[in-house]
Amino acid sequence: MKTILHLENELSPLPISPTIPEKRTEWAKQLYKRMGSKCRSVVMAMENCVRCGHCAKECHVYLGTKDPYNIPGRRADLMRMVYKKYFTASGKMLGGFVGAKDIDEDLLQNWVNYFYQCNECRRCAVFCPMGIDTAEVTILARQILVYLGLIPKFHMAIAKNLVKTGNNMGIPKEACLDSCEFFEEELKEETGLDIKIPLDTPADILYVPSSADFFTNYDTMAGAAKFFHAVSADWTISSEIIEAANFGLFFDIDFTMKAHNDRLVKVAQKLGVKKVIQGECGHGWRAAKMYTPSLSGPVTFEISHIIEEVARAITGGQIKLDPSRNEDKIVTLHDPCNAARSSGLLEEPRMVVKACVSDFREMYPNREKNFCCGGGGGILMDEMVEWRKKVTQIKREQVKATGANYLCAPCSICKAQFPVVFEWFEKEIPEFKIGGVMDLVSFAIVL
Amino acid sequence: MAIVVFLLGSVYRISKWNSTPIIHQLVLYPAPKDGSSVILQKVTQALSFGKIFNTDRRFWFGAWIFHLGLFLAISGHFIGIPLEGKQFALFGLSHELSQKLSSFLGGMAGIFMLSGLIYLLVRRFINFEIKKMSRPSDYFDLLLLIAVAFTGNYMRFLEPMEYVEAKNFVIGILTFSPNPLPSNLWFVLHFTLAMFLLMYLPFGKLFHFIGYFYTYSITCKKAPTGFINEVDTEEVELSKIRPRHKRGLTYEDYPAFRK
Repeated sequence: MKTILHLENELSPLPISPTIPEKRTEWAKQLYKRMGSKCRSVVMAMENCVRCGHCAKECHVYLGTKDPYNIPGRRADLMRMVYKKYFTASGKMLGGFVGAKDIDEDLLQNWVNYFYQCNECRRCAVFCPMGIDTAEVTILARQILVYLGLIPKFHMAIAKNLVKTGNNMGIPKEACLDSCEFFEEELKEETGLDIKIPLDTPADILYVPSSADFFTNYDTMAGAAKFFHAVSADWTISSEIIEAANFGLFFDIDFTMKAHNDRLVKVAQKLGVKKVIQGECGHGWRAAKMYTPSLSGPVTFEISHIIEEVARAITGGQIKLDPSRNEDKIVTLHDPCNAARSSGLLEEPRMVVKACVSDFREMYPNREKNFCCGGGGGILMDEMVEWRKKVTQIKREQVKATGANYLCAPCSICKAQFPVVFEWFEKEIPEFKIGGVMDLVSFAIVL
Repeated sequence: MAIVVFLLGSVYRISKWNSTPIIHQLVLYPAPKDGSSVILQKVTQALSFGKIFNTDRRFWFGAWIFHLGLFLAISGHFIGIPLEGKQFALFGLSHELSQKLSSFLGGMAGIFMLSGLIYLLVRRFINFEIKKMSRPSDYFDLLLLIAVAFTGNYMRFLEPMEYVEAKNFVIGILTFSPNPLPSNLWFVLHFTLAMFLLMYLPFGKLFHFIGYFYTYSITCKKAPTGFINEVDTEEVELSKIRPRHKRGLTYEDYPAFRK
């Protein structure tokens, strides 16, 4: 099988036995019979599409690549043809007339190629007149591909790290401890205050940062620490779960995602926390907020997002922010798909950013209609760089139209994606920077 | 028989949908705040086609005018034919005027439907993306609807037939004592095609008039809202802020907040 992705053969972190290539289609058929009609969101997407083609010009992937298979409706058709074959009377009787087709090797190859070109951003679900959510189809298709052992190397590496250390980057406990000490020293130098970053201590609040905050997004972590210091919160980080992101949502809900959500619940119960605060991570916030109760419930603690907490503290007058410290920045806000559309973080980031800066510009379209950064669905592979640049054209135009020199994206995937695809931007706009909402809080907060 | 097939088919399809669970929370934000606004949002969407109205006016016009015509035509068939076009007499019009109004509305409905359908068909042929997505059954669905609408219009404008005749024929079938076929060939054609359409409805994509509510219900739901929606966004006195529902720890529990 020749695909655009590099696939992994070694599947040991997952409890899955790989198939022999000759038997793959046979297995795929059996799997599809078992899984194809078990979830209403997928069944309705299969049965209810009227093929009006309205999704085509709302999908940044199609607009960027111009590959007809990337039209959301047509991508779902790759599965719909099999669905018709197995689960509908018309497909069984009329076959090709309604587009029914059985699984074969070519179709599986198309599945790998095209379902891994979907950003799972759910923008098509916002615009579909029937309300069909193609991301759900993508999720099911990727799950089936995982059972068949067709997993991208990139995702498998993350699954390995998650099993070993509980975070995507594979940071062990000692390194985590070192980083926290380093953060404390840096903060002491910067502010002259003893801002603690407690690790593995029983507390009221468990803060779950994104593991990238430990390396690349230093200011995000600093912002969170300063905020907790300012409200004198009793908080902690757990070395077992320094990862808000949950890549299971992108390829494997059954094992990887469930394991990570279980880990969150377990650690929270062990430390006896009353509240879990998620750091800046788009899909991680969705996985924790929308999927923890149904996957790992019942949940005995409150789950909240750091930006919500900051917004609440601003309204309550517990922290003071000084916009003049961000005077040099013209800020625009990118709404991460999973945080905004899928889990309701729409107004809070705006409120926080407006409190932190003096020059804030909306980008259009925004809020739930915003375009994805092109890295959604975990498509951050090196072999996809050209593709990622293509699908981000719209985003670049959006940002350019605002005239901003600071792109605020409260999501680790967006923060990883933008520097790669915005290369030339720094030449065009001097001092162009990319960062999160907490970075701005970190600069503006008065301690 | 067509009605039985339609009913059985519908029951089969809807029960299939009902039997599959919604496993996870799949709300799309911004979500409605209470149950009545959920229903309101669904119904307004269904009536106005708001999602396409905002992004593609031409498509919206074609689709909307077809569905409007279809709605008028169906209600006309159910009300106009049994009452022989005298339904507006109930509102105080004379019988003759009522019949004229009835046939005017019916004619409008037929024209709306047919023009909308032809637009949709042309769109399917000339638009690259939609052409790529289409399958034979999509064209078939459209052509079937066009045939039904065309025969209906033909009868209306070129070879008129009395309501009574159609009414008696349908009553004859429903009471299992069939009358002889009416002499109007267009009626026979229209009736046969419509019955075929009725049987075919539950098995194809044309069932989306019910499926819409099922699909939309998955993502349009009352949902736990974030912080901003919890407190009113307009001017609130800072000292009076209390989260409306206390689920766990709030800022009042923090040491800094204890006086």
